[in-house]
Parts: sequence; C-alpha cells; structure tokens
Amino acid sequence: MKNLIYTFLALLFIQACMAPRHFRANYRDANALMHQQDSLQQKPFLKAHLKNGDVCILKDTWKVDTVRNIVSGNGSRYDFNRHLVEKGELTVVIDSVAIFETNKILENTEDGRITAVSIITMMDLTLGVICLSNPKACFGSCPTFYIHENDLFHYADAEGFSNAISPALEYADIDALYHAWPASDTFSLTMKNEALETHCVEDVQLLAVPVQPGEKVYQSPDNRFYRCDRLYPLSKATAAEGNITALLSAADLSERFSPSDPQNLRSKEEVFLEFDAEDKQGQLGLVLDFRQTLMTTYFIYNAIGYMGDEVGDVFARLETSPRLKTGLNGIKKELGSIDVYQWDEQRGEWILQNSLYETGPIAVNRQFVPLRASQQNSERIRLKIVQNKGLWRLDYAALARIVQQEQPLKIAPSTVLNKGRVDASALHSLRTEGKYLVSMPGSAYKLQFALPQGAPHYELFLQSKGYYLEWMRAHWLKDKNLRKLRQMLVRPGKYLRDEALAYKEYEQYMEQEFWNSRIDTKNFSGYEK
Amino acid sequence: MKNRLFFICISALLLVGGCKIQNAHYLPTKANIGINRYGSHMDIRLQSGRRLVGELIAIDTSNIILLRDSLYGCKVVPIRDVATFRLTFAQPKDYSAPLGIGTVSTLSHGYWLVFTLPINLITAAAVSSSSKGSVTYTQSHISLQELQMFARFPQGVPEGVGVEMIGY
Repeated sequence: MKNLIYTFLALLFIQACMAPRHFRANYRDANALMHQQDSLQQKPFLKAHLKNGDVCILKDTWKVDTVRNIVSGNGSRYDFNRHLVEKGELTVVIDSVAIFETNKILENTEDGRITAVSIITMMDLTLGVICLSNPKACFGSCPTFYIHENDLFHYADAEGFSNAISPALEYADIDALYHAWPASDTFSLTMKNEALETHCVEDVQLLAVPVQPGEKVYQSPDNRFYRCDRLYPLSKATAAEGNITALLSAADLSERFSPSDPQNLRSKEEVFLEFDAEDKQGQLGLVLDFRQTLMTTYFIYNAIGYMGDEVGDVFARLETSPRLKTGLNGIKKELGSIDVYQWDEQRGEWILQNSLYETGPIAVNRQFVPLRASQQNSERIRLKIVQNKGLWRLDYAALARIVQQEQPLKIAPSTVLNKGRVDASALHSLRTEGKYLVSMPGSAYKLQFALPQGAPHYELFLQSKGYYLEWMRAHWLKDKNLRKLRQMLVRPGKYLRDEALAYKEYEQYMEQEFWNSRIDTKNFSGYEK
Repeated sequence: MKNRLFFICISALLLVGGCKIQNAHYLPTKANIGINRYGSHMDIRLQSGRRLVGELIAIDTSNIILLRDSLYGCKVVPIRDVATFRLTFAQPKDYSAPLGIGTVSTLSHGYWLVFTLPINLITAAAVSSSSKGSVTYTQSHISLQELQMFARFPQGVPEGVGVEMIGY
C-alpha cells in the first residue's frame, strides 16, 4: 500500500518536471513555414507577428500564397497593445511579417493528474460510503483524554470506561498517562467526546505517585501501584509466525498483531518471552504495553445494531435485569484476557501470574504483572502469554525491579475550562458524588489539576468513572436481529464461531489498512531513556 | 505532533501555491495557447534578491522587457542581473475544487481520517504542483534566448513603439 502511494506520488512529481517541449515554433520567413507544412495539421493556428507590433491570429483556414506574397484566412488582428483592430477574413502581406508562429495542440497533458484525482476521489467516496453505511467500522467510542489537546484521536493518552455502554454498566477505569511529564505544579488534561455518543462522566481524578529520578510506577490489573527502579529488556520473543523480538523491544507502536481465526473467534494463541536472568535480584514484574484491535468495537456495535428499533427497550431492561447484564459480559468472557504465565524451573510447569484486560483500540495501555514464581537457579526468565487470536496488539515487553508498592495520591480537578472559559458547573458535577458531567459530541473540557509540592516528579494515572450512550443511527435499524442478539447473550461461544467469517471480512480491510498505512509513530518520551 | 503539523502546513501551502497564477489575466488556458495574443508570464529573481513578475514583452541579447501592470508599465531588466527565472505559458488547470471537496470529505472517514487526510493533502499538493509544473519552464529547461518565442513581440520591440507606450 505504502509503496503504491509512493510510486503514485513519484510519478506525479516526475510529471511535474515535464512541461511539454517544442510545441511552439517561430519562422522568420514564409518559406521556412511552408517547409514545415507536413506537420501543420497539428498546428491549426497561425500567428503572424507584424513588424509594426500588430499580431494576426488566423484560425484553421489560413493559407500561404507565395505567388501573391500573402497569407490569408479567418481570424483577428490586434495592435501592439493587443486591442482588437479587425476580425473576419484577413489578408496579410508576407513582407510585413516579422515572425510566423505556430503552436501544436497540447493533448492528453492532464491525463496523469485526472487519473490521480479520480483515484483519490473514488477512494474518498468509497470509504465515505463504507463509513456512513457502517459507522461501527470508522467511529470511536467513549471519552478520550489528551495531554496535548490538539493531538489526533490516534494518539489519545487514555480512554475512559470503554465497556460502560449503559448506566448499569458504569465503572471506574484507571489508565497510565505514559506521556505525562509535568514541568510545573499544574497538570492539564483535555477530555473529548469525538463520537456520536452522550458521555456521562461521574468522576475524573488524577492518581499521582511521587518518585525519585530514574524510578517508574506501574499499575497492575488489580489497580495496585508498584514503584520500580530498573528495567530489563527483552532477550527474545517468539510466536507462531517466528521471532518477534524486534516488535516487542521498544514502545514505538510497532505492534505484534495476528489475524483472527476464520473458524472461531475464541481461538487462543501463545507468545513466549525470554529475559536474561543475570543480575536480576529482588522481585520482578512484567511491563506490557497493549491495546485491542477493532474486534470488541465490532461486537459492541453489532449488539446495538441487532437491537434495532428496540434498543431503548433493551437498554431499559439492562438497568433492572442482572441476567441481561451478565449476558452482555458473555462475549468479553469468551474472548478472554491476556493471561501471563511464568515457567517454574523447580516445578517444571507454567504458573499463571495474572491476567490483563483493557477495552479499547485507541490508547495503548501499560500494565504490570508482578511475578510470583521463583527465578532462582534459572538462566533465563521465561514467560508465556496466552491470548485470543486477533484481539490484541502487543507493543512492548520488559521486566522491572520492584522497590515497593505505593498508594497514589488522589487529585480532583481544580478547574474545568470549556472553550477556554472557566466552567464552574462542570467542575461541580465532577467533584460531587452522584452528579454527572454530560458531554455531547464535539465537546472538549480542559481539566486542570494542582499537583502537590514536595516531590521531584510524579508518575501520573487517570481514573475516570461513568458511562456513555451510543446514538442510534438510522441505517443501523436495518441490522435489527433479535435472534442474533439472543445468541450473542445466551450462547456467546456459538456466536463467536458463527460470526468468525463475517468478522474476517471486516478485519481484512479494516485491520489491514490500519496496520499497513500507519504514517507515524510516537515514542513514550522520557520513559525508555 | 510538530512534524505532523509541519507536514500538513507544507502540504496546504503547496496546495494553495499550486493554484491559479495570480494577476496574470493574460495567460491563456492550455487549449487556447495557439490563439493567445499576449506574452507568457515571467517571474524573475535578480542577483540582488529582488523579484520581478509580469508579461514577457520582448527579449534580446542584453535585456528582458517585462510589463508589470498597466500602472507601473514596463521594466527593462539587464540579463546579467538575472539569477533565476520561471516562465509560465498557460494557466495551470485548477484542481482545487475536487481536491478540496475530497479533503473535506475525509471528515466522514472516522478513524481512517488519520490516513486519508494526509493522503488527500499529499495528493492535492502533488497534483497542484504537477499541474503548475506542466506549464512552467525554468532556467534548467530553456535558455533565456529560447524564451523569445514566448514574448508578446518575439521579433523584439517593434520600431516606432516606445517601451513606455506598451500596455494592455
């Protein structure tokens, strides 16, 4: 894809250097003009530049009469300032002509550009139609948080409560803010609603852990925070496709990703990680950067699509029916988490350490799994990741040495800015339990937090709590299929088998495009130095 | 982020820069080159760094005569003072409407806007630049003397016509 684009652009630029040559010719006398008569078919116009500065422009009926020493034809005569003097049948005495000029008709000079514009227009139209007819494939969900407010959504620093698609599913979500490197005692974060959704945000808090230079804090799946003082790089990583060490050695968005199983979306796969065990004293933990593919987004929107015009009824029932709520979690359970195992030399078996899960395809999550199995007498520390095939993108793996567990400071926002103005009402909603800040599509709130003084640096995490309501699109109504919805809720395992081929079709163009056409990467500044 | 912004700004500038040649009403479309009664558009950068633009009136072994506009009239430029030049013999075809609409339409692409917006901007910049390049000669394409053919008076300024008399 990239190569195709580069070739296409190169051709355009090459063409840019190719203005047509030799399309114009000047003749000092009529004889020279007559000698070129063979090619005059391509030069229908004749310009006679007269010695007095006038010009006669003759159309395709002109002729040279060497006996009468004239050129005649239908055309126009202009003076030296190019004001029209005469129009119609003209006769010009050859001796009054200083120079004859002919021009070839420039044909097909725009073909390359027209082709380029056509291709890009077709691409825009096709993708536009796909996205409008199937917004599930193109538009995101849940509030997105940005340290740099002008970043595109692809570089969101955190996604809040992605699974909470109704009030009954409200929960609090914690995300590490990788790129936060606060230089002053005030830290700002912009919360955006970039989808056709209503976001109801109950609470946003900053979790801050003071650290010394060189120290990092990582969050485990059970929301414990570990201060670490050393990082140990990956020695080797392998998966079904072979050596993937290069993909997992740096937090650079060069992610390891595998396609889903066309037979069954529940299929698991294994990724093996090895770390050199020399000099690794104290308790260690696995640092893993990961995010989801578009698979869960696909299921969330499919579920809403299946509800069709009964979406309101189903969501109302969801508020009062624990069974329905459990049913909605069925798919998540079937898809599973990222399970981290450690090889125990003494027992000769893989021991499950913990499982990681975070919904959302946008922000990269960094989570930490403290290792429990003994690594004494081992040359290498060997870990195994078991995960759903096609659901996860892994970006970075390393070991970190734990100093101690920490309790983070909770910091509520001190100011909320809405379009540059202080919004006391929004602040009140965020700081009052039970009240919600309701954010509509296009909204962007800048939250400011006052960091306590006294620490050289803070490692920051974001805790957000709330839920969101997806807006029903008219064209989703045609997807109504209550039988399929029931299967999804009651028999999620069968649903994942039945839906595998349909998802594969979606995955083939969306995931492939996503993977191949990425234009840029963003490093986790300051972290891996 | 800075790199992306820079990239987008440059692309947008190229896109704008690739559109119509400003203040050159005398330039024909490509299809009308054969019946155009004026000279081509000339953009000259002098050794001093000064820039002069206007219609190419005539050129001889030592001077180029440019008609800047009807107010300021003609300027005689010694060839030895010319550092670079760019001659445009027709208005480039303007693709800004389809490309602009295409670029705006990427708003409907959701996630994929991240890819389609830059692709649209790059294509727009490339097409506009290419379109402009297809009607332009620089000193690397053509010699100053060959430019005679593109002057209003390829034979030189006619006898009896003073430079100060020349206008539109």
